[in-house]
Amino acid sequence: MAVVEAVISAYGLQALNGLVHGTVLFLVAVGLSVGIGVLRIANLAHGSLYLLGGYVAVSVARAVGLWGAGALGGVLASIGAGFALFELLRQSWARTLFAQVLLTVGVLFVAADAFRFVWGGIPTLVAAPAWAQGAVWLGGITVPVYRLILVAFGVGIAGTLWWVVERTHWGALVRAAVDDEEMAQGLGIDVVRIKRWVFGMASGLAGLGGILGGIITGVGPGLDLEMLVSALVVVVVGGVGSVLGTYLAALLVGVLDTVLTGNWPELSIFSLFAVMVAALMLRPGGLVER
Amino acid sequence: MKRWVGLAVLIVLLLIGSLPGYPQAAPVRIGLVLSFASQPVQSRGVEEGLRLALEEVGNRVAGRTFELYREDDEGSPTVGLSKTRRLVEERRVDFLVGTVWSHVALALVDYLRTRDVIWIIPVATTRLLMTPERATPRMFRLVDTSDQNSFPLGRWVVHKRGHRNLVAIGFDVAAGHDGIGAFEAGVRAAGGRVLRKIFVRVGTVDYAPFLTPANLEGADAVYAWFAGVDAIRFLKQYDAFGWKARLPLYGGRPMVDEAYVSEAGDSALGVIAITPYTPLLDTPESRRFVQAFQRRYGRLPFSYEESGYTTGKLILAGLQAVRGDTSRREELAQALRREAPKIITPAGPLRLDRYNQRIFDQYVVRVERREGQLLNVPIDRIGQVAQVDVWQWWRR
Repeated sequence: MAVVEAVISAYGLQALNGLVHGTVLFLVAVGLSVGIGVLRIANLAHGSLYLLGGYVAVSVARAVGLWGAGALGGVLASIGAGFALFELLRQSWARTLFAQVLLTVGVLFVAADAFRFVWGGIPTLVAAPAWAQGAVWLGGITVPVYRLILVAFGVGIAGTLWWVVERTHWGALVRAAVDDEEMAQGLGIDVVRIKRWVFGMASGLAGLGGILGGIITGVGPGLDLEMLVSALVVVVVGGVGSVLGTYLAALLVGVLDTVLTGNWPELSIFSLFAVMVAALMLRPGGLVER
Repeated sequence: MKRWVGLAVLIVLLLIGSLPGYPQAAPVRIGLVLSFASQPVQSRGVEEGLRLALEEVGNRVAGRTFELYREDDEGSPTVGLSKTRRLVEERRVDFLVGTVWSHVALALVDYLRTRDVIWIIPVATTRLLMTPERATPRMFRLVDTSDQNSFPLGRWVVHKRGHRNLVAIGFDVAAGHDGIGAFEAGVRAAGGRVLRKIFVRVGTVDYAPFLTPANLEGADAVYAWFAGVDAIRFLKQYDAFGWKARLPLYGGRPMVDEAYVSEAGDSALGVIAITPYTPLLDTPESRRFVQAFQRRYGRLPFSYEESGYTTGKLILAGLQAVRGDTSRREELAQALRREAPKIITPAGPLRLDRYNQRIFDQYVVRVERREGQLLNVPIDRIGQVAQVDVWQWWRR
């Protein structure tokens, strides 16, 4: 028994931390991956949506006093921002990849200053909901309950997304609109409307990431870029456009990054990219190729 | 013809009369190079403290008024240098106040050495600045270095708390290495040991990988050197993983900065750090400063505000001594140095060492909740710590 406890405390904690890290990465990266792979929109302002979700959730939750209200507000705000961004990206001058990148990087900087103006430069943490506070003992280590719940959430969200895209009528419409835009239009599918909703949902997921992840990472200036870079690594490793690939890649990157930096902290500056380089060498098309 | 002359005289008289406060001397120019966007807490604190000091004398001393120029260095050495050049060469400032970041301050040293502007440093804390190699008579630093706070705290935890084995964790940049190095020197000077030093990158999102039983094994306390959102995350996670209940946590100065420590909530309660100034300091000067600051800005002033305020006080005293003549800068610098000991700041009498580095009384503080706000409450007074006294430890 003592041996089991020793093994759990040595590897179990790192594995769990890796899964938590991976789940946060997944929530941010999945929207980005769908944006790039499905909609052909490289949205570099994705990290700003993460911050927006977290910030709005903090403000609303403090004003109303309900965690759920804050979470709802944060998700709705980031969906709204996603719609606005989509309209901007639909302009004729913004359709090339180069223009998209310039435009969304510009939005990233403007948003960063706007957040600083509204919420100040003082970083804050998103509060965990009351029912997810506290800690449990697992084989000799203390684990915050919220982290366990977050991992379960990640599984649920990934499963739901996969089901929606692969198994529902709506998912079929999305796939049709992406695979052959003209044919889909010919069949009477409103492609722009579908794309708008997909982009809005992807943005909402980034906001949800900012709320659920913000409980651990906090929200503050600079986190937008931080999350964007991590998410891009996950998208590259996982293969663009695949929900399943993004989820597996996020967990893989999360666990490897955690184990590497936990054992060799000096590596933490580039361990994330070391994982990406290795993945590109072994599977250039991503874990799950479309 | 006579009418024309009369009219001309009248016009000239009107022109002279319309000039405000004739005869008029040009205002004293003060340039601020701070990180307003990236480090708003420190930058705004310094600016507001400085403005308060100037407003208290009606923005006028020895017949001269003030003009302030603000520049943002964006936390970058190159931007900081070009903004400083502009202030010195185009705005022709008499005083330069900055910077927040140590690496930006270090980038200005060589340039400012060739200029006769008076340079007052309110926030940057690196121990490499006010040294025989870098200091000039025109440089003044009004903030303490990590040698003056982390070193004595290291000694204190061994002597007063009986800790023998510590683990230190902090930023993998100059500030973190300075802070943890000075802390370790203090611990060793007192006969303790630092078992492990863990350096992690700025912007680490999750500290869980480092807060493992293997890393903290054998320690009886932990010392952490983080700032900003990283500090808040660390405090929260140290608590969430149950370490706070088992191993007491000590922090570098920015770890429990009052401006944001409340964001960590109960997780920050009981953490012990060291600071030269807290608004809870019970001296007449501190009480008066706190009252005046609250009346003007509606919030409590902390150490950065104190730095800015003392910057203003020092400038005023120097200008008074040279009767407002800023043209001879060497004399002005000497006047600042001469007048400094006469100033009683909110943190006590203003003492400078031979390199114009301020010497403080240091207070050990504990985070407690007072009137709904988390504040650093003094629990012990360490007394004056000079950087020179600590340098011997670096030569070992």
